[in-house]
This record gives sequence, C-alpha cells and structure tokens, in this order.
Amino acid sequence: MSTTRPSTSPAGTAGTGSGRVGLARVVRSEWTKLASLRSTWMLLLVFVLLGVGVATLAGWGSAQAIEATEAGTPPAGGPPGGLGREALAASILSTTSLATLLLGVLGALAVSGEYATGTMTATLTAVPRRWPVLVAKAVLLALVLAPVALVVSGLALLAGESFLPESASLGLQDDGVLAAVVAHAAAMVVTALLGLGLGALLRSTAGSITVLVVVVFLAPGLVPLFGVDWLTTASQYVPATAAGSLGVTTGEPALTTTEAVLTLVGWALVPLLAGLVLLQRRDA
Amino acid sequence: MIEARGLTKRYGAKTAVDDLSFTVRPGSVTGFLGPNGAGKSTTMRLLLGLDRPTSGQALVGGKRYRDHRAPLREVGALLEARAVHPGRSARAHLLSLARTEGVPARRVDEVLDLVGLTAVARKRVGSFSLGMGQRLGIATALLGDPAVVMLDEPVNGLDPDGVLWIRGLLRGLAAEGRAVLVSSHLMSEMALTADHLVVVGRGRLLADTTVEELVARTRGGSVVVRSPQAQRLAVMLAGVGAVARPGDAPDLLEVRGAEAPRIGELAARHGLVLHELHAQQTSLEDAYMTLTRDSREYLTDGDSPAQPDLDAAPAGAPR
Ligand SMILES: Nc1ncnc2c1ncn2[C@@H]1O[C@H](COP(=O)(O)OP(=O)(O)O)[C@@H](O)[C@H]1O
Ligand SMILES: [Mg+2]
Repeated sequence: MSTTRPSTSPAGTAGTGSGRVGLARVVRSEWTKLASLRSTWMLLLVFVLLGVGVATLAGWGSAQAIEATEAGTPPAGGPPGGLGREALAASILSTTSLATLLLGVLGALAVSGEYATGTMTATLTAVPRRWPVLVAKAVLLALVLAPVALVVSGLALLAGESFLPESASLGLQDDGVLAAVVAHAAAMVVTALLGLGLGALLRSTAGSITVLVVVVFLAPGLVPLFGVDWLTTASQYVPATAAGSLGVTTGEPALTTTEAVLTLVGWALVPLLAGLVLLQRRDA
Repeated sequence: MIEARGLTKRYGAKTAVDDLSFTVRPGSVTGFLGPNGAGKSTTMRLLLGLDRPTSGQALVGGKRYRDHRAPLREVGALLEARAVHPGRSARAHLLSLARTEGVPARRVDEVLDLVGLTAVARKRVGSFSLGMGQRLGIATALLGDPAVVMLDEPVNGLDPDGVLWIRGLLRGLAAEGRAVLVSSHLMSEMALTADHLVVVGRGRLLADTTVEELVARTRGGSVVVRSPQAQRLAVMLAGVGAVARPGDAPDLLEVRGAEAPRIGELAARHGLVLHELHAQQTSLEDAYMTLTRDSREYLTDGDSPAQPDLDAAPAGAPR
C-alpha cells in the first residue's frame, strides 16, 4: 500500500462498467446491505423460533386444558372450555404477533439504522433521486419475508395443533385454515413494511419501535379496556385484528373480509408513502 | 467541474452558507479553507443534493447532482468519516454502493487495494481505527472512478504516513485531469497540496485565489520598528496616516500602513534613532489567520453582507 500514485486510469475510463442507477440495481444494492448485517440473520432466526415456539406452547397449553376438562366431565366428545376447534386454531395463530413485532423492528432498522450510522449519506449520494432507495427496501423486504412468514405462520399452526386431540384439531386442508395462515403471514409482511415506513418518517429506531409496540401489540389488547366505544372500534383496524378476521376465527370476525384486507394494505402502504414524500422533501 | 452560484443555506435563523459562488476546475486541487463552522461541510452537502439550498444553484459537471443518472461516476465524495454501519464489512459497504450503478466487484477490490485496506476488507468496520475509516471513505469516493472528487477534511485522524499518502493521492487525481475539492481548517495542509484556494468564513467567500496570490495580498502587512524614541516616532507615523501599535517592549512598534523604506526615511528626516527596522514576513498561515480573523470579528470593508448575522461579532472592533 501507500503508493503515492493512485493506480487509477484517466478520469472516467477505468473498468467501472457502464450503468445508470435503476430500481433493479438499487434492489440488489439493498440486498447486499441487508444480507451483510449479522443483525438481519439474528432477527430472522429469533423470529422463526419465537413464532413457532410460542404457538407450540399455546397448543400444548390448550391440550392440557382439554385434558383437564375431559377428566372432570367424562363424555366430553367435543372441544374444551367452550372453544371450538376453529377458535383453537385461530388462537394458536394469534400468538405469532410477538414474533411479528420483530419483523417490524427489522423493517424500521432498514432505514433508521442508516440514519443512526450515517450510511444514509452514502446511500443518497449513490441514489440522489432518493425514492428508489425506499421502494427497493420495500420490494426487497416483501420478497424476502413473504416466504419466511408463510413458513413460520404454517409451522406455528401445525406445531400448536400437534398437541391437540384429534377431535379438537384442524389441519391445513380444513376450511378457512389456510386462509388464516396466509392472513397471518400477510400481517407479518405488513408489519415489516409498517416498520420501514415508520423508520423513514421518524428516522429513529427507538421511536419506530415504540409506535410498532403500540400498534401491533398494545392497541388490540389494551384500547378496548378503556371502554370508549369509538376508540374500541378504531382499535380493531390494526394488522393483528385484520388477520384474525380472515379464515378461521375465535368468534364473530371483528372486520369484514374487505375491511380486513384494506386494513392490512393501509398499514403497509400509508406510512410508507408518507415516508417516501418526506424522504424526497427533507434534507438528508 | 463544480460551480456554486450564489449558494445560500439557512437552518432556521442560522445562515450556514451565505451567497457563495466559486468554481472548481478539472486538473487542479482546490483547497476549501475556513475555520470550523465556516460552512464547508454544508456547501459539500448542497453540492451533492443532500441538503436543499435556500437559494442559489449547485452544479456538478454542468448539471444538478441529482440529475445525473450515474452519479458515482460523476462525483466521488467523502463527507463524514466512518459514516458506515459498524456491523458491515468494508467490502460489503463498497459492494452495496457499487451495485447501484453496476460497478463490478473487481473495482471494489481495486479501490480497497488502492487505499491499503485489502487485508481487512472482510472485517467489520466497527473494529476500524479512525484512520482506517478515513481510508474507507476515500475508497468510497474513488469507487466510481469519478471526474470530480470531493473530500471533507480527509486528513483528520490519519497518521503522518497517511497524510503524506493523501497528498500524493490528491496530486495524482488532479494530474489525471479530475477536479478535486478538498476542505480543511488548516492552511498548512492546503499550502502543500492545493493549487487554488477558496477561503470561507461565516458562510461567506473571503478569497478565491491561488496560494501565491494570497500571500502577496497579505504581505507588507506590518513592519517591526525598534527605536529608543518609539513614542515620538509613533506620533510622526500617525501624521503620515500609518498606524503604530506599541509592541511587547517599550521600544517596539508594529506599524501598518507604511512600508519599511518610508519609515526609515521619516525617522532620518526627524533625526530619530532606529535600532531595528524590518518588514514582518507573512507566512501563508498568517495570511489565512488574518483573513479569517477578519471574518470572525468584523466585516471587511469591501463586501459587507446583505444581512448581518444575529450572533455576529463583538462590537467596536477597529477599522
Ligand atoms: N443541520 C443543521 N442544522 C442547524 N445548523 C447547522 C446544520 N448543519 C450545519 N449547521 C451550522 O452551520 C454552520 C456551518 O457548519 P458546517 O458546514 O459544518 O461548517 P464547517 O464544515 O466549515 O466546519 C455551523 O454553525 C453549524 O452549526
Ligand atoms: Mg465540516
């Protein structure tokens, strides 16, 4: 090293290929970034373990409950504790929301991590039109996470169901089960995109995670406790409740199919579009 | 080629860059000098489209930076040192940028070699020293083999070897026909590398000149006189429009506004004894200090700005 003469050829003629910045190239660039961080793989690993693990515990817990009920009331025959087999399947799937939160964090970090470390300067210098950066991150997250989310959602259901007695269990081939699995996988990808949008809006990891925890986790469970009607109604329009309203459900679905689908699409796209507008307008 | 035309950037009430115009030509190293807070980094951010100017234009290669379709080939920039994710390897960082324009991986290895980071290319950047981070920043700047190279305080954190290396690198880049803009708050560094100087203070242009011109401009500033009759000489000097300030010793004067020969003649005419008479040698460092001190404390007569800064300078400064 330390040659005083740079071994570059005259300006603009070195073998640097020839290429304009295009969306496909930016997606490749974003893939290089995502894949080169250990935190990405750690988060994905924990996501899989947590998603399948918590559902397994839930299934095992339900099986214990069924056993206890049957011991008390011998000729039970049917599902325990007033829960139908569909409701059991739905409640097993709903436990994936903890893991879903991790994908939101992954999405948020994809942007907020760049601001925190200063990488955004290099990124926007390479892609000065800016919007392709965020669009590429969204496309990439959706492409990478969709299959992973489907597998986790499916495995979560199967693992949970495996503990239940035949009379209380459902399989993927049963009515509404596959739809619910897909809906929960969709909620996972939606949450990742929501995190991405929040990261672009807030530029802060802590801020994004706070909003994620409220939307993904607290709103569905906590807000109804306030007893304010319109708040309770509003709190149903979150990804978890939307996913829980599709396919097999724990009771009457909170949202219609159209409402649920729009809710999922809305949470994925609205913050992302707002983030896109701010990315174009703000100083980097 | 870089052209700043009337560039102005305000952050709230703070004017970071104030009606700045200058040109950076290919084939030479232009030093961008100014004390900390003068607006150098902000100007570079404006040139790269990272911040939007409040008014004025920033053109690189004849276009706004963001209108270039292959920007890394046009401009290579080092802004903040170590603005890289600490968990990523140097190679992955460069590769991710290279991908945006289809720059081949071979070029990534080439620039890593050029800056001497080949051995640590796959190590996480978090473990890098400040100097290694700086080298990675320079590798980033050279990645697209750009026609314009823009480096913000590149020698910060480098050891003496590294500083020497940067000097050679900059000269080489200019010799290859590139336009090179390098900022620094140290004149000593720029004197050794730059052909041309753009000096700023408080966001305003103070000088756009060559190194030689700058010295010439400030030379003849003051003359040191030692005389047992210093008091009387000072009065005589005042009579011819020069200003004599008392020096460290009672017989010392620092004279401005009259050259050494005139002072000698004046003393002879009045029969005053001189023990010493010499023009103060102006170093480039002095020239720079004078220039920027003026910008910090009071406004130079020629170019008073349209609107003075709120937090501008102590009142009652001489001149
Ligand atoms: N984002 C910002 N918000 C507010 N003030 C800023 C911002 N960036 C820079 N400044 C101010 O603008 C002035 C110029 O800063 P800078 O361009 O970093 O100077 P230099 O690089 O010459 O040291 C400083 O007073 C700095 O505090
Ligand atoms: Mg600076």
